[in-house]
Amino acid sequence: MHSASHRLNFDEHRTLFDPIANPKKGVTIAMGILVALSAWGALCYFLQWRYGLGASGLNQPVLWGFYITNFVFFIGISHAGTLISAILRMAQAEWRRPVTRMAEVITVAVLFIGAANILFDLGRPHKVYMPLFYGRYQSPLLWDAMSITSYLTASSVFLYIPLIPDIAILRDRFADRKWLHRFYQVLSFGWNGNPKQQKVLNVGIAIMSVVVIPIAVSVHTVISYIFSMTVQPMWHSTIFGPYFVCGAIFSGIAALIVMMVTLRRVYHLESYLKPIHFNYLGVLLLVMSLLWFYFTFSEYLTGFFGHEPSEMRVFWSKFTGPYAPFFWTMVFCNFVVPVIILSFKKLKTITGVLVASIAVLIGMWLERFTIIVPTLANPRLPYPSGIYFPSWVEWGIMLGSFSFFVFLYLLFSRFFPIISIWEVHEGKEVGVKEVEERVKSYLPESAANVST
Amino acid sequence: MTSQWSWNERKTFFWQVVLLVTFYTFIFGIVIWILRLIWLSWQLKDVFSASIAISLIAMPLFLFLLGVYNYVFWGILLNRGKSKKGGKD
Repeated sequence: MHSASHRLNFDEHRTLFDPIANPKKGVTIAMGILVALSAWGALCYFLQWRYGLGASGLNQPVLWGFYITNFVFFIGISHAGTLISAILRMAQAEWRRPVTRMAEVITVAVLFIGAANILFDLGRPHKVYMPLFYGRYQSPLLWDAMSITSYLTASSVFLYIPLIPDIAILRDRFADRKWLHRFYQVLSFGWNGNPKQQKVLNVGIAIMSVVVIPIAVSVHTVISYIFSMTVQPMWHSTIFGPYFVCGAIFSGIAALIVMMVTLRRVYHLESYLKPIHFNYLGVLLLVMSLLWFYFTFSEYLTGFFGHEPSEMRVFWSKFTGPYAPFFWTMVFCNFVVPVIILSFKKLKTITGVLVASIAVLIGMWLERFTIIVPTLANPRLPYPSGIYFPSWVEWGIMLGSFSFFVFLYLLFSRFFPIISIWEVHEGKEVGVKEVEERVKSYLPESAANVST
Repeated sequence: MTSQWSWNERKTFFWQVVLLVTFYTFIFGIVIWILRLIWLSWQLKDVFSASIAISLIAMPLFLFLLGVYNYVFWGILLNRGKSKKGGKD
């Protein structure tokens, strides 16, 4: 056995090895269903490829619908991961240990799907190579491509570096399975946990934690620029950057909670993901809900106060017009539900936090939808206003996108531990002592110590 | 690579280097793409300054990420020490 795992009792963390060693039949069936749904999405995309955007409900003046809504939504929930994980690591929050990996995987998985939705929006992507060869770097669309690529690269590195010790543990654990062992052997870079390697790893994680935060913030700011750099009514807003970042973190936390509750149940991770984790994340969700309401209120109040005719057409279409059901459901899901559930201790159970998170995910999707579609349906220029009905092809692609995300997540959990084994182990061995010393260092020294 | 390495260890090292080279290719592909767009904006007199401004952030960032990956890759690989069997882990 390599020294990477000589202090680790495999049986102690058996629950974490089980999804890899003894995959559950139910999970395999679920993955099969998800593949079928993803294939359905792929078939819908094939139809759109063949017949162009005529197969979708997109038409003048609403040329951005489900695809761009999904794009913004998916990139938003990607903030779960890296940002939350990086902040918790930098703050040395000890409760982060079983949470960070789950968050980081969300980021990498959804970024692929978010970016793919841009391709879906192109319809027949026969000119997709044009930005590669003739792109204009002063276009916010190209800034977006650049920021998402940098975020995906940074998130992948940030996921991989803390994964190396766990891969080494798996290499040792599955020494009897030839191909699996070889696979882990390549990916573990010869990790054996000696102090020099540990130092390199810690430095790598620390650097990435610092770097990834501004990248994550810039990504959603740049996404908001796609809208705010135009002079379309209710898009041309200076607070769109922070508003989008706030919404992204908000939906990211919700997605993380939903994943945590689901995997806790499926893989029996009750001893790792305890009520206190959901309690802390619930508090974060509540704070973000209040912040989201503040931004939404500011955004609509300033628009209303200006009373510009083209802005007001969009405003009323959301408040009392055809988009009112979506708008008010958004407010209900993003503010009313989470605030009521998360403010009362009795309601803030794991189930309660899950309900609030699902509501937030629905609400945040509707938020993206109500930002994009009503503005395009009521353009500033004297074009006729329009209404948008997504076609079954768009529904199919959307279903495929969500299914593929969950499939990628489950696929990861079939090959890698979804909870960081070495970090949990480290927390048990040295974390408790470290926290004690850290807390002592915050407190004033006793009179006896000062006098000496 | 030393002669002490077994065939299996050489194969493992080969695939590890393939991973590293893939990452290098990806990063330098992006850098070349950015340079190509800057060159194009220069040729077409199409707000060259804006292209330079964006690339001043993007290119160092990608190269920095490559640097971190390199640091971890070689830092772990070169510090693995000898295993009990006399070869490398």
